[in-house]
Amino acid sequence: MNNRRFGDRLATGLFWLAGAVILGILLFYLIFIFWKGINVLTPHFLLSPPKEVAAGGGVGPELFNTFYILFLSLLFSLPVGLGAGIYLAEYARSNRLTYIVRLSTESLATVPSIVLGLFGMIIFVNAIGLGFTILGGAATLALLNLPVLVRVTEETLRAVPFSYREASLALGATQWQTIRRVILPACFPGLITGVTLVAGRALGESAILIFTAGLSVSRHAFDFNLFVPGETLAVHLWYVNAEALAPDKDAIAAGTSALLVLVVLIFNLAIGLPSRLLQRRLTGNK
Amino acid sequence: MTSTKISVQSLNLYYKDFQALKNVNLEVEENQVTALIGPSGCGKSTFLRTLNRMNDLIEGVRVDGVILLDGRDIYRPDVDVVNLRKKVGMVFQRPNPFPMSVYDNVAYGPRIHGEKNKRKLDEIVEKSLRAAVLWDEVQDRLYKSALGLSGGQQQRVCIARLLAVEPEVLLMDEPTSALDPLATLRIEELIQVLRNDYTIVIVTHNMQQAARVSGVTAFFLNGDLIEYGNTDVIFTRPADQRTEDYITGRFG
Amino acid sequence: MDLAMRIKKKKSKATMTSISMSLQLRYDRFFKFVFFGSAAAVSLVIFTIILFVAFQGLQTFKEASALDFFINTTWSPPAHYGIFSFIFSSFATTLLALLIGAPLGLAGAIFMAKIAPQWVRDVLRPATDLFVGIPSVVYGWIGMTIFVGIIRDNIGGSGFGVLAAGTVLSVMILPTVISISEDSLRALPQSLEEASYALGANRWQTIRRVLLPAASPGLLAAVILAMARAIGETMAVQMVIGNSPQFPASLVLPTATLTSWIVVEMGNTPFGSTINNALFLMAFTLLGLSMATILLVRVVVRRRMV
Repeated sequence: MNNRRFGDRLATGLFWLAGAVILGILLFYLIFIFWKGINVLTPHFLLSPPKEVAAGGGVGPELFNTFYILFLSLLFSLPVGLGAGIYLAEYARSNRLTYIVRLSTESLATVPSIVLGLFGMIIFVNAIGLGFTILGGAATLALLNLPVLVRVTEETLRAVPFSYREASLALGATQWQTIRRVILPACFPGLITGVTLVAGRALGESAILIFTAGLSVSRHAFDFNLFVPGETLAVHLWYVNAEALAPDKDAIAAGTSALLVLVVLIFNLAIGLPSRLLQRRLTGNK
Repeated sequence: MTSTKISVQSLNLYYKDFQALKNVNLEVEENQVTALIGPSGCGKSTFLRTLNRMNDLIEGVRVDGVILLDGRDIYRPDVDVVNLRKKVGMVFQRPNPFPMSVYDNVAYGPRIHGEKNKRKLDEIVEKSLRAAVLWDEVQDRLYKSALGLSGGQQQRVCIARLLAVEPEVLLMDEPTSALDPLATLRIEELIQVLRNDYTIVIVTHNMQQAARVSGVTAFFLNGDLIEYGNTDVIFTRPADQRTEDYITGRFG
Repeated sequence: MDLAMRIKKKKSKATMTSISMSLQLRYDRFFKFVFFGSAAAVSLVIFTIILFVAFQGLQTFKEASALDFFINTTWSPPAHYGIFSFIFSSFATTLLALLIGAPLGLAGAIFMAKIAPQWVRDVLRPATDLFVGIPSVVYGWIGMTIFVGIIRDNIGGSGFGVLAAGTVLSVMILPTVISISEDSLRALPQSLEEASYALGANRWQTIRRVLLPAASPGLLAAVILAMARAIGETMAVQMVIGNSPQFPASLVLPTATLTSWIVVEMGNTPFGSTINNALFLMAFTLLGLSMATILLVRVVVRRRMV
């Protein structure tokens, strides 16, 4: 009897320890990242272009490219991802075709990003012959977003009670009207959360972009040209570690790491909060 | 004096291999409340859902037979289901208001059917909420989420939402099963008012409710329509032994 | 009279709306088509990827033998295109990551699903999400600046190698392990737990003898998917593995995995050359591995249904 109680206590203690270790690792990582990098984050660092061999380079163009490519990749993947998710949740019957769609979406989700990068390279860099471009990078990055968007959309839509659909259809609405006016508004907060998740992942992606968007930046500040190479923050961090010659490359790497994590954090807070507020308004809680 | 609104002739419904309705024949009179009673799983809700083809939404359902609404078969392939459901509206077991304001809930139907004029919509919303005897309770919170209302109020929002599309027939699938006795009473009173303007078919588990609100009662058992007729007759002198057993509580 | 008039009014209205309705029905059909098209497009993507990568990669065999490619440990083009060292290193780092990350992640999932009080859960849930948010290059950078130094000073070698990569990966797979196994633990019916408690079992006994066996297909799926994540991870591994095309005879010897070697060589070789094609063949091998995991997960999860 005592043995049993001891076992239970011991196990409980170990599980608490596991939780603490997981949280501890995260805190340690975050503190380390910011402790190393936060004082590098000066306005000069955030705005000026990188330098190849001299000290004092910044990450201005990389910061811009990061958001530009993210925006474009969402532009390409959102319509298709949402559309496919809606199809699976609202229209798909359980037949062979649906099975294939599901299986291929799942498969796409597990394709390693380096393989997606090589695929993008075959298509955009070599077959179409664009070379390394922002367009090619964003389009390939869209492939990373797609399966997650499909899954998030389908899951969010499925969480909407069937009774909403019944009620709307029983009022003589078409299926499209039901989706647009009832289902999508009801799951808007969930979709926003899903898109944030996707965006956070795409923000930090590098393996896809090295061989599609390239390792260099345009000489013009804030170049919206789709057909120039566009190195992002994450790619820059890798490049600085691997090949840069600048004497202050350790500081630049630390600063870029801190900036990347900061951007991800801000992104989650900035988009997560309003959607939670909206959720409250929809459900009528005070 | 009474005329037939819906005429059901030799209706069979199969769910995959299971036959849920067996050769049902029934006439629903205009401006009358028809109650469908019977034990759980007897097919009464399934039958109700054939009247506005809500069963179309369920995979694996096959229907044969004829259902005439104003003399026109609603299962003919060229029938516009959307138009049918506009004429034959439905209230569900659990109140299912959309996660929107009370106003947007009631205005939903008119909007999807093309009404954009704000003044006209205001009018329809007020008229429908008044018809559902809810106006006084919600007029100062029209723009707040309908999910914040009580269960009984939510059900009346659903009824108002339905009235706003001006249906001719109201199908009610155990509309009070999720409500407390007081809210149930309010809904029953509402049904009494609505019978003057609409043809109502109501499924209920509650025998007293059937006796209180309906003029005609139909008794279902295992997918068969055992008998139907004037409610007083069914409840006092049923023709079939099984009806009597059910009503006196000997099973179900 | 009055009734007749009302019916007449309604009839005229019905025909009017049926005109606007047919427009609505056309919209309805149009959007159904659009949604179906999107779904078809998504499915098409994976087939296109397989096709293109395979086409490019299989051209390697014009100059190299398949047997040599998969079982030879020597990568010295143009004489030998052997990728066995890379495959071996990929599995070694993955296995090491699973040895550390899977037990920790499973314990964390059990803690979050069954033991932690609500407020602890509210802290841990966003914390595990943050693990996903940290970019893999940042994991790699942390590995370079912390783990590599520690390994060099305490264990030996240059610090780069399978040990460093496995350690970095063990943290990166935590969110995958935790979220999927927590979901499958939560999906268990409450009645299972109640039944066990009612028989006088304590919490640990209930977890070990009832909940874990019942959730085992989901837990296994979590580990398999974490494995797929670890094998496919590129940048973090590339930064700490040492990037030397040799067999990892020890955990602290610089080596290279399938993914990391693609990154190293892709920039230096011209498109269309045999050595470049060999890199695509390595990518195709990775693709095959990830397809295999998907099928494996399907088999594992289906067993639960039966």
